[in-house]
Amino acid sequence: MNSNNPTPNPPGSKGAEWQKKGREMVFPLSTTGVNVSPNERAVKATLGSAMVLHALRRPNFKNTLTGLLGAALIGEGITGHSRLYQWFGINHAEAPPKPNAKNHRTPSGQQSSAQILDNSLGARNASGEVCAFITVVKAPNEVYAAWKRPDVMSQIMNGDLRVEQQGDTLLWTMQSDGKTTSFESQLTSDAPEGITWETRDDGPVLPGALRMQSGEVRFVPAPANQGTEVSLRLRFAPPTPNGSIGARKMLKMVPNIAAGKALRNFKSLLESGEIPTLTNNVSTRGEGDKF
Amino acid sequence: MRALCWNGINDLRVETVPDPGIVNPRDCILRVTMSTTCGSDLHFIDGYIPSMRVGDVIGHEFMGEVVEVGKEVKTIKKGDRVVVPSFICCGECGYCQGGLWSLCDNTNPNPEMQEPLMGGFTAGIYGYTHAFGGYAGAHAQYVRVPHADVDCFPVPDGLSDESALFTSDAGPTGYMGADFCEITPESGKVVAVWGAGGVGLVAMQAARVMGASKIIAIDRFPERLTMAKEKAGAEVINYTQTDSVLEALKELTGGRGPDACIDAVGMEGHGTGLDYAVDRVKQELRINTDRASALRQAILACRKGGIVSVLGVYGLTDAFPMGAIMNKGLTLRSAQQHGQKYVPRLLEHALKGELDAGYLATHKFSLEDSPRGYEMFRSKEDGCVRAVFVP
Repeated sequence: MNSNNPTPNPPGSKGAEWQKKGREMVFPLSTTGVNVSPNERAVKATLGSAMVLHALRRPNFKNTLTGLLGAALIGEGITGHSRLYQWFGINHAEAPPKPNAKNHRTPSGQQSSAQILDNSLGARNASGEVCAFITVVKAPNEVYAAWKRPDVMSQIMNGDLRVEQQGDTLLWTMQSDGKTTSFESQLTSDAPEGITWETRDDGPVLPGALRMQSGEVRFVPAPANQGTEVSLRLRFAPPTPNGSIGARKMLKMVPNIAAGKALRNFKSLLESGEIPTLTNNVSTRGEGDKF
Repeated sequence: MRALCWNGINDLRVETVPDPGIVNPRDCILRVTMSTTCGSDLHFIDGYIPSMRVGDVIGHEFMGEVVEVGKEVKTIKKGDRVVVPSFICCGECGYCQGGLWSLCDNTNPNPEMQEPLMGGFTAGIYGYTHAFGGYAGAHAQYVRVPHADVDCFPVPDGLSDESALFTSDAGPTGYMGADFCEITPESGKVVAVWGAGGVGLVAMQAARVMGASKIIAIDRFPERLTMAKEKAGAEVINYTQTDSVLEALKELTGGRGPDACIDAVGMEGHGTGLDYAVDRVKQELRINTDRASALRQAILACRKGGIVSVLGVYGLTDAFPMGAIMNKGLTLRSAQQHGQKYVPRLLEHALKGELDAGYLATHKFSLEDSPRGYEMFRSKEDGCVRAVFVP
């Protein structure tokens, strides 16, 4: 028998198995398969780098061993293959099948996820309602009176929106991208506790292709003399009645941010007498700043 | 006017910018007479805190002379020598009225930049990224100060500029850190402070004034540890020369651990352990913002039932030992400095000689040489603790 060409072990035999393992150990970079999960690879690569760095900064015997271990971890991170896992037949690259959650549901857990979503504030928001909330350190009647002043509305909307009341009609004038949009709403209630309105007809098309249908602002005393809780809700109809929740969420993002900003500006104006601004802020870019 | 501007990561230049002017009737304009570097500046200079724009004027710790006032400014007048806390506050919102000044609701024009990350937002601050307001800073000849009546504190005669300057930021930060620890002469508390820079040194002095029975300073720079000994009477630990800071602290506290631990280090801390190396790699890869070795050590060192007072600026910290906090029953207190609350008593302490932080001004530069000042401050060259700038 030629020692350089040994008789191969029969397939399936223990000898064949050990021979395969031996080949894999001799050729450490052979791609016998990825068995480390992506997250684990990232962790090993990072940890290995840290260990090598630590070893290089403070060279001694112990840290040299740490550095070698770190290098091995880097190798596993890069190749995705762990010889230790392979030896024990472990494969983290494939996620195990999850048991069917529904089979484990208790009676109290019978509410469907769709129902949970529908009952949540997020779901109401997803249907086209924009909400913003803030607490103003002033008494409710003072906040109500300030809200009804046209100059206040103009200031808190940076001059882009003006609202005037004539009887039970609200006249809205909005500036956006150089265009002026005007429309009317019907005041449906007006009291120090809150104001509600509905836009006549189908409402105008606002920037972002949304139609404002109705709105309300409420003034509720905050607990422990903290002032007034102000809530603003605006209801919009999406441009396509059958539009997806995702599309509606995206379309409502701008009025959501605008409503929150308006309430913050309102609070700042009432409490401190001014709205924080970077007007004429100096830098090498000149004067004035908007990030 | 001339001003020190951020032009990119580690790129500071003195440039010519427009003069500031009155924007709102409660504003005043200061001619800056002195300003100083702060360790927290390094976080955005190094690019770890985002939302700087090329050309931003930096600097948030300053004092000056009032040269112009808005028509609704009532108590501050032209010619007054004033010191101004770093955070801009309205004085009227619930947070200002409750003494939580750095949480003012009404002075950050860009709250939507912080809110998604933190669930809330701070007050605006001078010269410290657009997420923190975007206001022009005070390493300049002039600066606009909103809400002047609330935010300008007249400096008593007899107090030098150096003594008054640090009541703008380092003083109230350190003092607040000690205040969080509930120190009284009767309680006999032992207080350990990580970081013997400007904030840490003031925290040690404040703890002494409040009645701490023992103060322990932890740092790696011999000259700073010497300052801690001389100015606050602190016992010192050089963490690069000890096998275990935790064991050293146990030895100094009869095995209990410090009653209160103050972290005056922040997100660019240094260490000697493996956690520091991991943080370093992650920070360089921008996977993580914080190197929090000092904070983790403070939490582990603190005695059961103690207080951890966090003054360092942080972003997102990995491997945070929440289990240690919960299982040891620790109280963790933190905030950006509530300057307006502490400036009056700091000025009083300084006048009486009880707590005067003027010694922190180890190196002085003209405004034109301020980039060099930041280099020395960053590298701690020549024992630099704080570089001050005189326009």
